[in-house]
Amino acid sequence: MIQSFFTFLRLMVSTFRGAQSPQQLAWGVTFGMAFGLIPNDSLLVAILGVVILATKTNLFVASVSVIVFSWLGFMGDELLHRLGARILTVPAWQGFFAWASNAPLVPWTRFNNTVAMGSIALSIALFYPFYHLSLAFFDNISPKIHRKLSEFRIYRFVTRTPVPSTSTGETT
Amino acid sequence: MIRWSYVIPRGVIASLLLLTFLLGVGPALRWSLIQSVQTATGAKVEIESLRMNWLAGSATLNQIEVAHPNRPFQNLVQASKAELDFDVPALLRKDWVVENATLQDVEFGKPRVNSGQLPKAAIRSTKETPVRAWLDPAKKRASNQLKDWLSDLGHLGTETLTREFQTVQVSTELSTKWPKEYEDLRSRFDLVNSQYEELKSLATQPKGNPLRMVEMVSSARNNVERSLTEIDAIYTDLKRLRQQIPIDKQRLLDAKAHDEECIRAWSKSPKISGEEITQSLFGNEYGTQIHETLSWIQWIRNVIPDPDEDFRPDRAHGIDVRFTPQDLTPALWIKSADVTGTAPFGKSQSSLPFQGTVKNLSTHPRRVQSPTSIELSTAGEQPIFVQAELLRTGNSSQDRISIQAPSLLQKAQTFGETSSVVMAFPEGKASVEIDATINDGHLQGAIRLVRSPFPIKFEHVAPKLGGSYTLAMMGHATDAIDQSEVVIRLEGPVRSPKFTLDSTVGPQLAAAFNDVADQIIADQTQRLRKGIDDEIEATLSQANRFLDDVAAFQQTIQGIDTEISTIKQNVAKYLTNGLLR
Repeated sequence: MIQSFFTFLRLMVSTFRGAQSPQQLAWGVTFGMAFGLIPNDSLLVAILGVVILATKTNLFVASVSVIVFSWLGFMGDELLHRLGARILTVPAWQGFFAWASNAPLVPWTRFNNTVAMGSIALSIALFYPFYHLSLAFFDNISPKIHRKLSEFRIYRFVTRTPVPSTSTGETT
Repeated sequence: MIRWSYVIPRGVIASLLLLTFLLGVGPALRWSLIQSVQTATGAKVEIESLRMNWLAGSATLNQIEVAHPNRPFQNLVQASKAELDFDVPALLRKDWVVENATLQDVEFGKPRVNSGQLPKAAIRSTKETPVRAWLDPAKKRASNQLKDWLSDLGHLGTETLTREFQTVQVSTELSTKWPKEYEDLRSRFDLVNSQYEELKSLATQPKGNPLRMVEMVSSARNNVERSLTEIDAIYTDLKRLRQQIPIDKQRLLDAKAHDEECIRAWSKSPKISGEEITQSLFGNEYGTQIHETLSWIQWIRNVIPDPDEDFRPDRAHGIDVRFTPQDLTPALWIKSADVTGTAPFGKSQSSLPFQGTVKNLSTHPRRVQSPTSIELSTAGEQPIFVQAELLRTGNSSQDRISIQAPSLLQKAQTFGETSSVVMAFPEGKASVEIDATINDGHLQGAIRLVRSPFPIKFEHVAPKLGGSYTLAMMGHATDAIDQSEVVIRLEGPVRSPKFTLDSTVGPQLAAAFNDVADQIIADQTQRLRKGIDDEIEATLSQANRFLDDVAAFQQTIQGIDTEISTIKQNVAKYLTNGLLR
């Protein structure tokens, strides 16, 4: 437990120091979003977990994203149920769903559950926009935030950031 | 994007996680299974360990205990080991289909050390209405009828009856009274006769001193007066006696009529019906076993779920949508399970080893569309074969249960007491067949018990009932009974069905017993009537003899009376003339 906390702390420090690329951070947010939304008894969650671990995805950002979207998923349960129910009752897709029901391993994704299907669909729908929005965020806004936060001693201490140098050119 | 320096260490971590998952799935599955069965039974479930073999697609469960929902310190069922072979392709489709299962050392109703009650919030409704007592009060009374009848038979002794007979009492009284009165008169007569002899000797005495003679004559005159008075009294008594004898004779005849009435009232022999004998012989004997059978039927029906009602797993949020009929598989479906274990049997609840197969046991029978079938058998000297088919695929449940025990041991039974008749049914074996169908909780069925030969042994008949003669008669009367067939029909709600008990041996035994009772009555009546007739005849002949004696006595007295009158006249003359003669 304590070790996990320190690992989490280390990941956080590493993230704040800007040791990882914005892409890695964006993947962390995106995968974390899917991981958090989809019910945890679905096979997709296990697959996402393996993917997160096996790639350069930022684990700190992914963890925060999982926590946030798990909570959001729980709050939006009714909405996800309605979305899933609507998808699962589309007449044109019944054949596909019937096939999927009898296909190996697919039922373990719990795609036939309205909430699970709603969350899967929402995750897919938000996957690309989330990645790009996150990437833009980490590309443009993150350095500014980092600079602002560097003014605080505690931040500098935690992230081991050197004191920002004052530029003389500004006064001349 | 993929950087192998990341992939390899993280792949190792993932593998370790997968390994942990595979190792940890056993406890997780164990927990999941415990929760499911607890939800279904409403009582605590314990599984010591669960080992999952993913390659073989099998699971091994050790020391499974399912507590009784209503008896916290008793297990509903327990097994030392269960091996489940899953259908792996079905498992990939998330269908828990067990192709073959083996349950070892299955036991029922064993005591628990700790309470098997779940916290109140988790207890499901477990109304347990006990199966109605086998015999209602009326039938319980009927079950004692044979004992009562044998006791009534013991009352057919005549000692008490003869003490109430008036013939004997009147006859004894008259036999004493008549001679006494006669003797009394005779002694009075003898006194008169001695006085008469004295007077006669006085009359024949030679003449002597006149003064002396006067004195003697005066005394004689007094004696004569007294004798004549006494003779008159004797006459009166004799007359009364002669008039009394016909009255006494009538009393005797009245007493005889009274006694005849007593005999008629007494001679109503106790009757017993075939139904009463059937209840007496078989009611208590089979009642417990039938009660036990019904309890088991009830238990089997409770364990096998109603259509899609029980064993419903707790669902996550949302609704599971079913797309194809094939998709409608039960949450758990055990296609075939071999079961071995022991079951409580009989009044002593001794453990009876059994083995068998259960097929199509599922949590959702409607989805299986096949009945759950159970075939169990026991080995040993008293084999029992159980076949049950529980169809829960439609809107109504239809169960058929058949139990066969071709050689069930029946204990020896003894009825009666030594003051009456003692009869015994030696130990033997009977064939028992139970066929029952239950449609929506309505039971209809029959239990047929056949015992052939069916020996009946009369061990003792009290001497007052004819002893060895009656014993032989009873033995002869029941010789023709060589087989007993008892049919118990059950109909009504499965928890409280109505019972009717019929047997071939009941009516046969009733006919034989009633004939024997009639015969005993007839013999006793004949003997009593003969006794009364003999008594009356003897008394009447005594009365006739007495009448003759009285007549002769009257004549004798008449002779003396005449002579005394003559003497009286002579005495009077002497006193008048001074001469005695």
